Amino acid sequence: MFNEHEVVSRILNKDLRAFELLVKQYEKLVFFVINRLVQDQQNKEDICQEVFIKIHQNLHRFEFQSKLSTWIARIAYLTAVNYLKKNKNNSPAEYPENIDNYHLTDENPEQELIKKNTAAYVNLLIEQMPHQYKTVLTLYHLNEFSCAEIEDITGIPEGTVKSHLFRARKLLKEKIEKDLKKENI
Amino acid sequence: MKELDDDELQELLNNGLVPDNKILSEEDKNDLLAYQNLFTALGTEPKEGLPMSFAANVRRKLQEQINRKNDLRFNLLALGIFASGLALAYGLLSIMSPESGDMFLNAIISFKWLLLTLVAGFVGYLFIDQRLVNRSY
Repeated sequence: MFNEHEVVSRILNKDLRAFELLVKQYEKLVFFVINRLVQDQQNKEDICQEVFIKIHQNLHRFEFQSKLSTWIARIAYLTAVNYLKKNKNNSPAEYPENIDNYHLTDENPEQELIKKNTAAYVNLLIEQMPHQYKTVLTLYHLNEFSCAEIEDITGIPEGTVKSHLFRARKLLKEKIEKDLKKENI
Repeated sequence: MKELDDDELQELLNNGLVPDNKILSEEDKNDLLAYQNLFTALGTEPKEGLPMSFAANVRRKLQEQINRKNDLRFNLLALGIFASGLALAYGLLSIMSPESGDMFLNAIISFKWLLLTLVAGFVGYLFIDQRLVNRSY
């Protein structure tokens, strides 16, 4: 059983084995966030490493006001956002502010193949969404954070988190339904 | 007739409540199924992930950074001790024999550029070393 308080106190006493335990415990959480926001496959592992080094450097500031996972997810989110800002030129064109006007592209042979696997196809569609939508979907469904915790992590107000979640899921559902209808014709 | 809108269906699934199929219209059943599939897909972990050795790699990288920081502290301390040694030697020589003290000081002054270059080179090397370690991707 992973005991947050004990592990954190051991790390603060310069125990690197305890830090390795913490990395093992939270590497999935960090990877899910980075994987969703950063498209650059090569840099994902480096960014995850960077996140854990930041965690180690700043752990003395963590005062157990929130869950450790929330604090770690916040560092991962901010690191990914900073990386995206630095590499703005490599990212796709700007997204419209209102996702209701957003158009998920199709007519791509690769997408046609991926459609056969729903999870992979949903991931492909999410990749095309603005990063706030990608983040809330990932934090809510993969990392299983509540809307209030997502507010702590991203700074997006809880009401907006809920609305992002509902609209993104509705958009995805409609897109998948439309594609299924197309296939059946 | 459709009884539940998208928001209501999502809210039900969010709360883990699955309405009885018997009371749902055909359209609602289809929507519910579509959302159930979507929720499952959204909760599916990506196939790719971090290597098995990731935690050990992070630990190794961190250990290297800590070692370099310790090296930096040690080298700066050595530099401080060297400078203090020179000052102490001058002080002691001045007490024992003021002439020897002056001679020592003159020797230091005549080699001041060499000494300053050595110190600047040493500090520069330490600085570059740390920058390389902290270099972002």
